[in-house]
Amino acid sequence: MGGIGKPITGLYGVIAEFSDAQALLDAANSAREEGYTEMDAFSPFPIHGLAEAVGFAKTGLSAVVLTMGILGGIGGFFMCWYANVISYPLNIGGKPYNSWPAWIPIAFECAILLAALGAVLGMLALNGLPMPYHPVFNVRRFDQASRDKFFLVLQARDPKFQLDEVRDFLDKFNPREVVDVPW
Amino acid sequence: MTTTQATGIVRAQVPALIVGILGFIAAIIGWVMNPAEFYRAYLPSYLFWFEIVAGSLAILMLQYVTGGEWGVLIRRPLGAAARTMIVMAVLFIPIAIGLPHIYVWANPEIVANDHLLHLKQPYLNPTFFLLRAAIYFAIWILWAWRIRVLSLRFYEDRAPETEISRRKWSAAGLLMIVLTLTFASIDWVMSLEPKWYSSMFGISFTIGCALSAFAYVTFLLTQLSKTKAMSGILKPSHLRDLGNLMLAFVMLWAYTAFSQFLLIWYGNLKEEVPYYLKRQHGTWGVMAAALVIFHFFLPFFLLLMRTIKDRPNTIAIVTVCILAMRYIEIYWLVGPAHYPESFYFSWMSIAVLIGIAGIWFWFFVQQLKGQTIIPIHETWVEEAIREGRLSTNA
Repeated sequence: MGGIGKPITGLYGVIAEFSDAQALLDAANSAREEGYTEMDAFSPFPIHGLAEAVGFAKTGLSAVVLTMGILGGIGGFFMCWYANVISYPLNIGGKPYNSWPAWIPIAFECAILLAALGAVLGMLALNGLPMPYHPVFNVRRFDQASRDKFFLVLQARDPKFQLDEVRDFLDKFNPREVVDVPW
Repeated sequence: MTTTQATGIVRAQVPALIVGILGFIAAIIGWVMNPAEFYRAYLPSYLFWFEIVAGSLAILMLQYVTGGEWGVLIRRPLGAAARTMIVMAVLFIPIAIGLPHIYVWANPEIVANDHLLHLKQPYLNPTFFLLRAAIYFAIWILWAWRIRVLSLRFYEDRAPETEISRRKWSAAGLLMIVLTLTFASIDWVMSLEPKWYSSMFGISFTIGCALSAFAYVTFLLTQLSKTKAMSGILKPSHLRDLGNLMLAFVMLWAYTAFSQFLLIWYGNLKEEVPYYLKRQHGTWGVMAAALVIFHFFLPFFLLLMRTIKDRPNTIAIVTVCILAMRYIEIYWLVGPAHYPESFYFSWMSIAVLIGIAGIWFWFFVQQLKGQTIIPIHETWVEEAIREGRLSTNA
């Protein structure tokens, strides 16, 4: 039998499909004001203000990037200093070995490199990508989210989540359809 | 309707004018006492205000080319500042009169005995210098008013052709202003030491202008946001946009300023290096260190933080820091040419700085008043105000 035909045991949430961005934005704003905290929105293009509307909290990514940037800057500078002063001192144009102005571009580039790596890898680590399975793909029409439809899902793990209430709540915003999302 | 009447900025007009006149009276007393010192003190203070005006014209045109919500709230103040270029042209007269006191190449007897200056004379001579200055001002004034006329016409007809025409003027104007400011900076600042040269100088000066203008309009906006008429219009997202742009220009300034230093330091050539050697010792050196810390590192780290960018009071402090450092940079560029041996700062610089401040501000408000501070009929305005509301709710 394996996993095939395994009975659906849980509910991920309830999803509503909208035909325009403003309806999604309004629904998300109302849901947040209503007290729902666990929700996610999907749209074919970025919508200004949607992140705030679904209550997207500040992540630790900026701290990761800053830390990596500072480490890169100090590391790059140290590398130059070690190479030119300790490991292999060379007389270049009669300048002192510790000619630090020349190292600033390298320290800067190392800071950018590590900050960029920190941003990409930190982003992947924090948002859980790559993610081979996500319950929203169980919804038949969800592929429309990459074409011209807009989706808002309220998750079952929300402490305020009551199946009937959530269905009624989403119905108020004139969605195309409201369906349950199984795990 | 948010008129300038309601913000009360008009009430500052007459006091500013009085302060400005007092400043100029003090400066004139200084001129009677010591004309040479007066002219040398005049240039850096003049350049400080000139940078704000020229930078405003540049950013205004940038805004018309790119569009976007970041410029909606600063467009009118930028336009008003750009149109005060006429005042700056008049205030250039003392420099024109005092040329021999300010610029070494304007003294025929020195030029006659100096082979290099003699060779440079076809370009660096008083007549051609003044002719070039007149051409720069004519071009800048033409553009500032051309954009004004097109904006007024757009207010009347709301025709897309008018908008496109304004955009074309602005696009051409961006090219124009980078070129003219490059030449003006070579004439007015770099030629103070006519035997030194740097191909980075013009763009560094131009970026300084843009940074000055950004800092000035952001400061103005934070002050206006405290008035009743503007409360509730200025949102954290607006200030954040301006803060981000200031951050970019702070980095750009540091990039050009450091690149210029690095190339000259590395090349270590005897016709280039003395420029920095002069500016590295004594109080000049302290100023150089202050530029590294307060013109780059401090604003850079402060402007990284949203908590600082989003609040009027905190970002106002950053803009004041940037403006103060703009003056210090200008003085650091100009001063050592006249006083290479040791630091000297004349009280007349302060008098001129205050004098121009007051008179310029009077003209600035004169240009600003009689219209809404927000160009309510323009594209992006509704978005700008709506987006602002959304972000504060969140």
